[in-house]
Amino acid sequence: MTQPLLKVTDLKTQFRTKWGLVKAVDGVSFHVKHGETFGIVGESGSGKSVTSLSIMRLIPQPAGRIVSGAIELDGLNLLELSEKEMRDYRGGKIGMILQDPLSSLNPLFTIGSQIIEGLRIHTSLKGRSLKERAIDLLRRVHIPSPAMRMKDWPHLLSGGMRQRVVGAISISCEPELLIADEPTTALDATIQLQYLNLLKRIQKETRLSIIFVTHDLGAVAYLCHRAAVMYAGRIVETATVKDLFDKPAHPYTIGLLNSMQKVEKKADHIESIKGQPPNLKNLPIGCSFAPRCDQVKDICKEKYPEETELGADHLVRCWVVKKEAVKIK
Amino acid sequence: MKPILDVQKVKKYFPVERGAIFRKVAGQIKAVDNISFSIVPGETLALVGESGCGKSTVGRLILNLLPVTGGTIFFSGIPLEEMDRSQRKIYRSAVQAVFQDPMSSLSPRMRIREIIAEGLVINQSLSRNEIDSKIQQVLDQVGLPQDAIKHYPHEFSGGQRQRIAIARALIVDPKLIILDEAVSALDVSIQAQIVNLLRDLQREFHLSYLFIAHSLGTVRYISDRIGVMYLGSLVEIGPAEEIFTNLHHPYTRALIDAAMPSHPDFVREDVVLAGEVPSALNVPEGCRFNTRCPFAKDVCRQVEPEMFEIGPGHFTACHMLDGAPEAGFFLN
Amino acid sequence: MLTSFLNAGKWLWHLYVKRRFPLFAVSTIVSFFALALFGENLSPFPPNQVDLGARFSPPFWQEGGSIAHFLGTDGLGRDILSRIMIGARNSCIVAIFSLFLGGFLGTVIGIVSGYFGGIVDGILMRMGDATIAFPIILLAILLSIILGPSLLNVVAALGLVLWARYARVIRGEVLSLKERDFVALARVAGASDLRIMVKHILPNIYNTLLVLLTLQVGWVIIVEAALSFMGAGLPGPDPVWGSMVAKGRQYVTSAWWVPFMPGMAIAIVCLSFNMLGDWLREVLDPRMRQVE
Ligand SMILES: Nc1ncnc2c1ncn2[C@@H]1O[C@H](COP(=O)(O)OP(=O)(O)OP(=O)(O)O)[C@@H](O)[C@H]1O
Ligand SMILES: Nc1ncnc2c1ncn2[C@@H]1O[C@H](COP(=O)(O)OP(=O)(O)OP(=O)(O)O)[C@@H](O)[C@H]1O
Ligand code: SF4
Ligand SMILES: [Mg+2]
Ligand SMILES: [Mg+2]
Repeated sequence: MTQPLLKVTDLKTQFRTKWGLVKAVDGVSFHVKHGETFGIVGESGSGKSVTSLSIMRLIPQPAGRIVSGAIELDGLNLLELSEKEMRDYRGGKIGMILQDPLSSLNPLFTIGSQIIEGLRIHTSLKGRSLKERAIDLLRRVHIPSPAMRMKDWPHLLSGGMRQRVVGAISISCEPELLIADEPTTALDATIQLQYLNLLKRIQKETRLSIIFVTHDLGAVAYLCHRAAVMYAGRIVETATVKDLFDKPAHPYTIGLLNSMQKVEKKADHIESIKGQPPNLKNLPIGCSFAPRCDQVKDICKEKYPEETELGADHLVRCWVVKKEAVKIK
Repeated sequence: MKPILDVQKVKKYFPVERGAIFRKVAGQIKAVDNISFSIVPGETLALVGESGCGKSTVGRLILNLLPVTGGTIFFSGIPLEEMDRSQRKIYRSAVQAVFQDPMSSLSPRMRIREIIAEGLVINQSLSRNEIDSKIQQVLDQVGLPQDAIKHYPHEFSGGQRQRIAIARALIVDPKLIILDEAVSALDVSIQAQIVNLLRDLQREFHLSYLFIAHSLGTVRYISDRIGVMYLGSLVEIGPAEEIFTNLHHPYTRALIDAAMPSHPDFVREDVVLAGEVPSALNVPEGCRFNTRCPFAKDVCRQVEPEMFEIGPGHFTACHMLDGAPEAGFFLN
Repeated sequence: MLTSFLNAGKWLWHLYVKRRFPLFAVSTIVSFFALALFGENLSPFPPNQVDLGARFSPPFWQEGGSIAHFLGTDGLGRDILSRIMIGARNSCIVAIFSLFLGGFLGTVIGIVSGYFGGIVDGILMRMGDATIAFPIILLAILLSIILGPSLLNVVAALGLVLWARYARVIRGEVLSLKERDFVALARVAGASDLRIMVKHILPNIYNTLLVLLTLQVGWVIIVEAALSFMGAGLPGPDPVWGSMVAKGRQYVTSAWWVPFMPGMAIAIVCLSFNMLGDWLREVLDPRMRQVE
């Protein structure tokens, strides 16, 4: 039980572009425990999607390449599997939900046939039981009158419904790990809440592990148990959600939390992080957050910070914190 | 104070046409249906509501990008459609806009100088030097470097582009700026920068904002009053803190409850609004919220509730609230 | 001085290696234009110089050929290389003028049609459809038969056929451009329709226009050749590639080089323009420039 379901170690994924090498993910390590929702939060371009695509081994070839690292699911390194073996994992042991619900469904097939298709590939069900299973899945994601909806085309459904159908497909083969890459960004507030509650419930029922990718700290607070904060292709802080909000250690995490515009209380003033988001093609040596950091020291501009353990499950990469954390202890 | 903008019973219906050869009107999308509100100088009114409820359409009507189907928009007391040439010219400078997508709101093939100066060039006859000094001034105000003017939009990040869009609006000394999701597309850390900038500018120049947004956190931070829209119509409007702390309309509640918490301690599990927004092609009879409302009674399905004042400057339209003109029994 | 030289070198290197610059195509096109401009001065023989003693002299590498008549001679002993070199000018003139005419009409009509929409759009686009649906060569032949074969008429015929192709693509772009927020903001600022079309929309279709123009040079040269081939092209004694092929075709078996050489010229030039157009399309793709 101590062994995590997923263990990612020093993952590096790079893209060769016309403007040079883009180190989209540069040495990312984290783990996801059984039955846990793990958030990956970060701003646009920080490498969240590339991290999740790397786990699925769906990095667009040949421009992109996983350069090094290990991705172990139950102790088995996914990067060493053949493409054919990997195909069984995708949609089998690992499910995935993407941001855009419209492009995740094929407009030429009814939603019923798309669910059945996944079941046919990954399970031994046949004929009628296939169909019954599909209807049952739709019911579980709260689609009203599921038997009738089976024959509907994707474009007839609203965004929220489509995303639920995608959700139904992704859990259809009882995956152990579900990767949800910003599944609610395109949805309205009330629909988003319905969807997140659905994810919570599915997780409770099946003890599935979820990697929830988002740029919304609020959604992390709502849904996740632990979370990692990404900045410029690296994880700068990992902690339980409680620690992340109560004892943030990295100046970037602190800045993000300070710039959150809270719905519970009217703020008189909100601190913002100064400067512009980083350009991955032109990262500074040393800590990539240094140009925007208000606690920056000389060493920050020279060397990338090492990982510091602040407590159980609380890791941070920042030179300044290291000293203070030692002092506190 | 006299309102700078007064929107009276404004409607916007879009005809839906069917048929390949013989086009006929098959129905109407009631994008905006009988909306009234006003904005006084120096105030921020936020419009919130779910996608497709007509927020942007309201903005476009005020900007005169679309003709109204019914109702009147008054600016400084003058109805838009009755403005003469010179009044129209003044109006075009007085009302500006910043839109959501920083990619699409700047002409990709124009230099920043030309983009920012466009409103001046069209509406005022100034010398090159006067224009240059005005540009310098607004660049300072929005926090952009002076050499930005030589560059093209694609050379800037999303946040900087939004600053350019603000500079462009600011340069003609506007009175009212329509901010249609002006910060929604930005990164969290940049969002706070831009919202703070907007607040500072408002204080400095006594600007009015119509702040269209779906992020309630931002809305609470920036707005003085809030209007809540559902399916093309206002269901509640009032002072911002009043709306957040003393909310009344069932939809407002649902919307605020659906906002993501800012801390794990604030997570509530109970409240969920079922169902989805009906199509604007097919607005429900009676109260347009009755298909999703947990409190709906028969009267809600038959009679459309009217706006009534439930607190000072706080209006709402729901049958189940104490003081409602038609039904007026207690909401539990 | 040295640095700017180095920078230029770097730039060329970048173009060539990183962006797969079509060197072959561009050199062909440059030579094509050079011939069009200076063909008379460069050609070894006057194009119409008849030398009955050297009739059907084969290209130099074949038995009986001579280096003097590099690509051989035709039935009147005229030097084929010289005639191809001079013929480049006619092809070039026809291409430039008809593309200019078609491009200009197409752009104006495309922008107006897309921008205003409604009935204007309906009428203009139906006209365009009719033009496109009509067999182009037939239309051009009809036109130049009715109007009589002359340079002007060939250009007019081609231009009137071409506009619809531009208009259709450009209208499509305008339809999406006019929905972009910067157009709405220009309206808010009080910009007139004309200003919006010229300052905000037109600059955004230059790339498309450039690619379209380049890709159609080849097509124009072929159609012009086909017209000449059928006797509806440029009149007069001056060599035209199309009619050189046409008149040479009776010798395909006896003196293959007479029709083959001008045919090759047409093929190489067309291919080059298409390669350049494809490359431009890739390099100018807005999606690619947004990444930077
Ligand atoms: N196919 C690709 N080719 C080249 N670069 C890529 C590709 N996919 C991603 N990148 C680069 O990798 C970096 C990380 O991208 P990624 O999509 O992971 O960001 P993200 O954190 O998911 O952002 P968002 O919140 O916008 O989805 C970006 O700078 C992006 O430009
Ligand atoms: N030009 C148009 N033609 C037809 N229907 C339109 C047009 N513009 C808007 N609509 C419809 O009017 C309704 C209101 O749209 P609007 O863009 O104002 O919503 P919104 O509240 O701004 O939504 P969002 O939050 O998604 O921006 C929608 O149902 C939309 O489909
Ligand atoms: S009027 Fe009725 S249906 Fe409408 S919000 Fe009030 S209680 Fe709900
Ligand atoms: Mg992403
Ligand atoms: Mg909108």
